[in-house]
This record gives sequence, structure tokens and C-alpha cells, in this order.
Amino acid sequence: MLFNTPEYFVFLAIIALLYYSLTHRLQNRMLLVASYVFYAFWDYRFLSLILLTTTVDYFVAHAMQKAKTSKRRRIFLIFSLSVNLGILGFFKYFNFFIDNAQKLTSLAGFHTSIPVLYILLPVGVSFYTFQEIAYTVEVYRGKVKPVDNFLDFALYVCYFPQLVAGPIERPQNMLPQFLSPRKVTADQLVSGGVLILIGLFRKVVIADAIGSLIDPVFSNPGNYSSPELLKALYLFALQIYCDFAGYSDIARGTSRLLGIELMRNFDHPYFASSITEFWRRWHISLSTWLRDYLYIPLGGNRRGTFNAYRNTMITMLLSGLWHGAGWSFVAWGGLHGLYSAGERLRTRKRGTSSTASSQEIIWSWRRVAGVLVTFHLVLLSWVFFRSPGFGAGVTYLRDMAAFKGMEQFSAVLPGLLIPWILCLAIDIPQHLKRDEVFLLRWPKTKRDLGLAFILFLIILGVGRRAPFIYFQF
Amino acid sequence: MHLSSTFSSDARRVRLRQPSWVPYFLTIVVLAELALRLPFVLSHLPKPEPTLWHAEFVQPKVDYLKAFELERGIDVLFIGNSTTQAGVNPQAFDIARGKRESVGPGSFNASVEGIPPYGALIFLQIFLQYCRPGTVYYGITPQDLNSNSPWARDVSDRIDHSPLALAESRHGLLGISNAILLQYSALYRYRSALFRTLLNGKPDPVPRVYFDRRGFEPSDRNLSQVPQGKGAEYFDKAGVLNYSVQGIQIESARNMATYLRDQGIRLVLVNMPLANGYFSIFDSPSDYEDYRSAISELASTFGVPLFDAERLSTDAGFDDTDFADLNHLNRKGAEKLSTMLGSHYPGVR
Repeated sequence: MLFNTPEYFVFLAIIALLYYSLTHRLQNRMLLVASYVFYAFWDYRFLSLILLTTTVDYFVAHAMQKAKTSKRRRIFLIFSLSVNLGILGFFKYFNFFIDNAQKLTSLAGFHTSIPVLYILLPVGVSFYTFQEIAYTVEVYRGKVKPVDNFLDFALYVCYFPQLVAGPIERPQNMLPQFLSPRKVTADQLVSGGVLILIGLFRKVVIADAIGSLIDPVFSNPGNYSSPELLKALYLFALQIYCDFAGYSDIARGTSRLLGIELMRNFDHPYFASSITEFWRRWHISLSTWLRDYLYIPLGGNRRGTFNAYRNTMITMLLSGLWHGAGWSFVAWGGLHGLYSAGERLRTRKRGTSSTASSQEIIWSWRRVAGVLVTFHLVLLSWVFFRSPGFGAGVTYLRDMAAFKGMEQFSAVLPGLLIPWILCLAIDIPQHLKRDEVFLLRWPKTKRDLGLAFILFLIILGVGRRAPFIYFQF
Repeated sequence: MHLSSTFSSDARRVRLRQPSWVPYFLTIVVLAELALRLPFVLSHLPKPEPTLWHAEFVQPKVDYLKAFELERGIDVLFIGNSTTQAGVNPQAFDIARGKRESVGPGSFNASVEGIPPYGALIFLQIFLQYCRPGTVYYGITPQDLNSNSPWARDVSDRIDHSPLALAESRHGLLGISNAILLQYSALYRYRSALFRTLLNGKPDPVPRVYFDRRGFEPSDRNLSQVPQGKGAEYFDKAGVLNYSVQGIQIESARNMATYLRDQGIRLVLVNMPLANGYFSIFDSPSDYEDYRSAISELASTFGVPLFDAERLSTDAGFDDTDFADLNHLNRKGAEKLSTMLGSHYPGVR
């Protein structure tokens, strides 16, 4: 059940009606059942995986709390991590590692034939696994108390608005909201509805429409001129942003209608003036997760310059691998690692921090230049992210740089600019006003016309069945 | 009811208030509806079709089919996926069955690339609105019936949510309601074309049609000249992943048999030929046997002839020189298969 289908809105209407009619405890139970039903629409067989990890983590958390020595606590934590990462590793990375191990051994002159298993990737496994890990680690650190009731914990793991593509929530944010009675305010109802509308606009009007334009280009770049390849790349940058940010908006809007606030996952990443800032604005729930549970435990930037670079690179490479079991994703992560390292080096030499500029609201020429440079560095990395393999990414870049068919440049411009203008029409006011639902602050007539026009465009664009890109991760 | 405990007092007021943007929305819809009836506006817009997913491939096929039906009439229709589109040359078929060239009703290849049985049935329902063949040949391949194929699932899902495909085929309640909307609402009819024109700043380019006027897509590639192992790269592996013949695709094939029987049209199943290398892609040798049993059972249940090209592959000597890749015949192979099919027509052993 996709967020951009009529089925989802029927489902949501039923859930909301039930939810508003129930007491707090029953609301939680109903949300749990609804979340499992929601997941079963994708593939009911994988519910067993969620149940397994939920059970393990529930009991591990309690065992950790009761453990008398830190050594025992650590053993329980390692057990939980092994189960969660083991399942993730098996379903997502088994074939990738087997394939590469075989290639490596054959390079060394040994011929092995380990069977390749055809494994379906459970939807959302990367998201809920990370959310569960956050819980057990926080319980281990003593920052979160284990949840008493199994069903409440099960809801934390599989809460349907963010189950299949995040945001990857933290127990500190979600558990108090699940455990205490909620009041849905007027502001939550209205802004939740507008967030859903903006999310649908990003997804249906922009991302889906772009998808059908660029898919053939990335499938067969050799058939296209350099301007067409360039256009497809710029549009892919927009597509992946609008697809994922649109999904997050709908997830947050849905949850807000139920009186539960999810963390913000995107904060206009293409307005970032440095790579560090980009990662503070792009997929925030993943980047902060990687910071808190990988980068800092590795030592962060505390143990010398070399270790800081090493930790950054490890974090970025694993971030790439998280997105997909393929070398192109590793290359994407590696590029971001190099960018971050380069930026760190530059900052060290200059003695200034890039964070200073990130806080500026007023746009200076320096910031504009930073935004343009950062955007194009990110754009370059998207080639590898979107291409079917590392080699295909290199070929794409080579074809793009061949300046073939440059006379088509003016012909591709309208199709490139219009989707970007549509996106910026939402993003610029949101960014400048620091208000996601800026439309609601407009004068009444302007606001109503704006909302009506957005809905009209959504209805024009709806109909193509394209899944959210991030579901595959 | 515990409504009051869930909502804060201000939220209750919001719930009861009518959204003030609704009149604006309705005004925009009515204005667009009126504007799209003005000849001046329509002259600046592309045709309302092709529109939704896959229409790019289907619409020219429908147009060619209509033209051929008008010109000569269609008495035999071939349907299936790209293997049938590339594997059956209607002209060779007609010659083999003794029809004089370019005179009287002929055969037409209405196969559509990437379509499993679920979609084949829906598109068949569209085609049969424009022609009335006596026989429909359905070219079928193992990947068509794999219920675990993500490709088949995705394509079925997309077709299932393509209002135009559903409307054209009058498939289910959704199809009928879509058809009514398409008939009476200019905005609905032009919705996708208008949207894409708005987004691109210009109308969609006319799609590149790669099949001929009778729906045949010949290929001059030769599998025997492809380096060993490279042939597998042509093949979409998703087709035989985790092979299992059950569920919606075999069900759709059965529905197709029932539908054609109800229409009084004869169905002939054709098990399309495969290159030898294809079989190495199966997870287990029993997978192909499962598939063969399923189509044999389908044929016997509905009393329809099964033209088994696997037998032909052995008897008639199909080899790699007849294939473009592991499961698509090239021009030479298509000529061979079409001639065989034609020479067995109408008895079809």
C-alpha cells in the first residue's frame, strides 16, 4: 500500500476514525494491528521477521537492565546487534558478499562455487532494524528505560507511518509519545493535512513525472546526447529529493493527524553550502543515526586527525552500503567521504568552521557560491547512485562529458527548469520563512487558492504507479 | 465514543469547519473542464493519448491493429510478450497457411513487450473491441507464469492502476467508471497529456515504434555470434527467480481461456521456443517441468490446442542461429516458427 494511492487514504480514514474513538491504551493496540496490516499489504511473510526481532529486542532490553555487571550487559547488546544485523546482512547483503568473495578467490586462482540464493528483500528492513538498534543501544547506555509492555514496544518498532521508509526514529522521541495519552490539537490537524498535501505534490507532481522521463536515459545512456544526459542527471537529483522528502512529509503529516510527532527528515538539503551541512539536511534521521551509533563510537574526531578522516570515510562508505548492496552505492558513499575529508582539511587550514555559514539565514554571495559548489558535488555523486553499476556510472559521466549533440541544449531546458521551479516554489518559502506549512500563514484567499491549485496539480499528475524509491533500501 | 478525550477543544472546532479552499478547487476544475472543450485550446494540446504507463507501446499497436482491421480484417491474432512480438511474423504465417498475400483477412501480432498473462488479458480485451478474429494464439514463456517474479508483479500492479488500460478494456468496476469519466470529462481525458505538457514545457515526443505495421518486431541479432556467457546478459533474470507457478498469472491465463471461450473465439497456446542456454538460468531443472505441466493442464482443462515449441526446438532444429538472445527469436527463427504455426493452421496439432 503506497502513500500515494487511494487505498492508503481509505486505510488512513478508517484508522483515524477508529483512533479518534478509542482511549489511549486501545489506540495503541489498534495502531499496532493497523501497522501489521499495513506491512502485510507488502508481504505478510516478512511480518515474522519483524516479530522475531521485536521479541528479541524486548527481552534483551529487560535482560540488560537486570544484568548486574557491565560485561553481561555488553553480551546482551552484542546478541541483539548480531540478531538484527544478521537478519539485515542475510537478506540484503548475502549475495553481494558471496559474489565478491567468489570474484576475489577466482582472482587468486581458486575456483569456488558457492550457490547464490535468490532472496527477496523485506520492505523497510533497513529502517526498522536501525530503529531497533537505536533502542537497545540507548537502553544499554542507560539513557532509555526498557518498555514494560511488549505491545507498546512492538508499536515502536512497526508504527505504520514510518515503518517502511522512516524517518528512523529514536526511542527518546517516540516512546514518551506512545506511552502517554495524546491530545490532537487544531494546529496538528491542519498542518498535518497540509504536510500530506505538500508531500503528495512532491511525490506525484514532481518525482513520479520525472521518473518516467529519466528512466530510459539511465537505462541506455549511449542513445542520448550530452545535454539530455545532463538534464536527466539534474532531474534525478530532484526526483530522489522529492520522492523521499515527499514520502517523509506524508509520513509526518499522517502521524501528526494522530497527534504523534515524527522527526524532520529533510531540511532543504540542496540549500546546503557545504557537504557537512548537506548531511545535516539530507535524510537527517539516518545521518544522525550514523553519527550517534557509528561515527562517535568509532572515536569521532577525538583521537587525532588521521582517525577523524578514517572514521568519516568508514561512516560514509557504510552509509553507501546501507542504501544498497552494490559497488555503485559504495562509490557514492566513498565520494561523500572524500568530499567531507576535503572539507575538513580546508576548514583546518583556514581555521574557520563551515558550520558558521550554515547558520546564516541571509544569503551572501559566498553562501550562494557554496550552495552551487555543494549541489554540483552532490550531483556528481548521484550518477553512481542511480546507475546500475560502478562501470555504468563512469560510462554515463564519460558520455556526458563528450559534448555530443550540444545543439539540443536549448531544447532540453524547459523540461529541466519547470520541475525545478515547481519544487523551489515550495522549498524557497519554506526555507526563508523557516516554516514547513508557510501556506497557512498566507492571507486567506491566497492560501485557499494555493491549496486548491496544489490539489489540482496532484489530481492531474496522479495515476502513474511508481513506488517510493527509498522502499528498496 | 471518546472523541472529546482525543481532541483538544480547538481541534474540535477545526473538525467541524468546512475547508474554505474547496470552492476554489471546484472553480479551477470547472474552468479547466470548460477550457478543454474549446477548439482553440485543443489545437495547442497533444492528443489525449498515449497517456499512462505502457500506453506508449500499446497505443501504436492499437492504431496499427485498427488500420489493419479496416484495410483487410483480422482473422488470427497473436498475443503475448516480447518473445511473441519478436517470434511471430504474421506475413510468414499467412503465406504458410496458404493465404494469398495482401488479399482478404490476415493475421496480426498484437503482443506487447513486458506483459505477463494478467496484462495480456486486459490488453486482449482492448484489442477485441476493434477486431473479431476467429483464433487467438497466445505465445507463452516460463517467466510469464512465475508468481514470484518481481517484474511480473510490478507490471501487473502498474496495469491494475492504469485507468486508461482498465477503462479501454472495461475491466471491472474501476474500468467501467474510468471509461465513463473518460467519455464525459475532458479534464480527465486530457489529464495526463496536459500534465506532461505542463511539466516538460512541450508535448511528448511521438514514441519510436519498433514493430512493423502488423505488430512484428524483427531482430537481426544472432545468439550464435554472441560470446559465450554474454547471452545471459540479454535475459531478464527476474523472470525465473524463485520459480513458482501459482497465483495471479496462471489464474489470468485460465481467465483468458474462459473469456475467449465465452466470446466464441478459439484459443491456441504456443509454448515459445527457448535457446539451450536459457535452461541453465533456472534454479532447478524441475522448474521448467512445473511450467510445462501447468500449460499442459491449462490446455487440457479448457480443451485448447497446445503448440509446444520445445518439441519443435528438438524436431525442427531450432538452434542458437535462430535466436537473438536466450528467449527471443531473431528474424530467421521467427520465419521458421511462423511457417510452422501457419502450416499447422487450422488443425493445430
